[in-house]
Amino acid sequence: MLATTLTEDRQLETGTAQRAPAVAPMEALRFDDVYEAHADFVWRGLRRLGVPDAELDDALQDTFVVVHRRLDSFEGKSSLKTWIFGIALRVARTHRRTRARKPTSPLDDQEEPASHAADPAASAMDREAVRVLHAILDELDDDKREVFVLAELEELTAPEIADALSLNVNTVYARMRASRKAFEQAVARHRAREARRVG
Amino acid sequence: MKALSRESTDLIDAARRGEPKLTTTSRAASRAKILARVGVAAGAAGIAAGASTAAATTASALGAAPVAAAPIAATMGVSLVAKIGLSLVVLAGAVGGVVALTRPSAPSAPADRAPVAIASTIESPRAKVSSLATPPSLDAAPPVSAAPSATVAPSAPTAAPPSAEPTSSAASSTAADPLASENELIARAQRALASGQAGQALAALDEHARRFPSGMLAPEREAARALALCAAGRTSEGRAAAAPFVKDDADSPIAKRIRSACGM
Repeated sequence: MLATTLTEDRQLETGTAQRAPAVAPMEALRFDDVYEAHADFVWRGLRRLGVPDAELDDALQDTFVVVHRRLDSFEGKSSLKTWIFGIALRVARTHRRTRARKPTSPLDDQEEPASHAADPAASAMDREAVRVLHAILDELDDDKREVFVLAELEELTAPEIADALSLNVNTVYARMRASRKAFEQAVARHRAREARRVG
Repeated sequence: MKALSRESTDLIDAARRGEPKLTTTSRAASRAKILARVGVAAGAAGIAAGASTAAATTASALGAAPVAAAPIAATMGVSLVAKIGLSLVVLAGAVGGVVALTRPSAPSAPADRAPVAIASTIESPRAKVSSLATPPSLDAAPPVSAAPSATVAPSAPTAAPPSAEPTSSAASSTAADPLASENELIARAQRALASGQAGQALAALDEHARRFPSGMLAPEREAARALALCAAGRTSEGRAAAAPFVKDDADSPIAKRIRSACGM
């Protein structure tokens, strides 16, 4: 059975090769559409998931290199967004582990890489809120952080999160509860630290 | 479920407003690098068509990995097991692109020897990556026949001149690519497995597990581990490792292969 599949596939591969000049621009266009529609949210999501700033562009590229190759096998069982997020999550895990985020204090004035554009309309307080949020997210363990980011920041539903993470929906609900609790505790710790610092 | 406190939602809302955004320039630059890495030249449609023809066909000439991975990709969908084989296609494709663009003329060598010839034309970082193309995939497919590479050879030189720049950016991005290191370990394990060296395969898989516990290719590692354990006669351990694959995707090619190897 295996041999048959491989033979058929080899024929398919040869056929594809011969037709490639006609087909390739269409495929390229399709990938371009997907990239243009999702690059911003993937980049933002990777950042929220804890990929260090210096590696964001690489992580974005890794994600879409995989998307490009898997696009043909996307079956529409989940939304394209959820499917892409599932890939981005794995990339983020890899990048979080290859280089741990440098310890930063919420008050550090970090230099922003070229790929960042602070929204001119964003107030200094809002930008400060970003630093606080990331410091708090950094305190969550990976499982909780992922579920929290998907649920509270990306606003995906529990079934969508289950899809992206290849988890059972009940597990997702349990992690959502646990991650909210952990987040609230981290917010409270942050508040206490701020109070000590100011007072 | 208990909702978040007002303090938390206020913080999240403010952070949303203050978040940096991906700049248009960076988005375009990343897009060009992605296309270079997958072997498609950025720019005019004609160039893209030429380059991807070369890349696609060279990828098929590179050996078993892309060919054997495709049926897995097609049948496994988005589940955990879906990742198996696909990442190999990614890297083999990237190498294919580079190779197609750097080789001055496509030799009509038998396809199974092509990767060797290619490796010798590539500097060290990519040479490591190119070794991915050589090993048989999990499906242990035989090398592709020489026919596809012979048919397409003429397109490679055409693609070369306009694609010089993407080639060099592909080289630099591959050098720092953790996927490449991961893939080398998995490929080493698969080569060992294919030549009956289950012990060596397990050593490579252990190294992958140590260096990339949650790497992109973790599903590939666990499937290969199940196969290697059963091949080594450690059937009960192999069956335990195989359980997630056999359970989640009972009809997938990899599940069938594992069942057969482990007598399940």
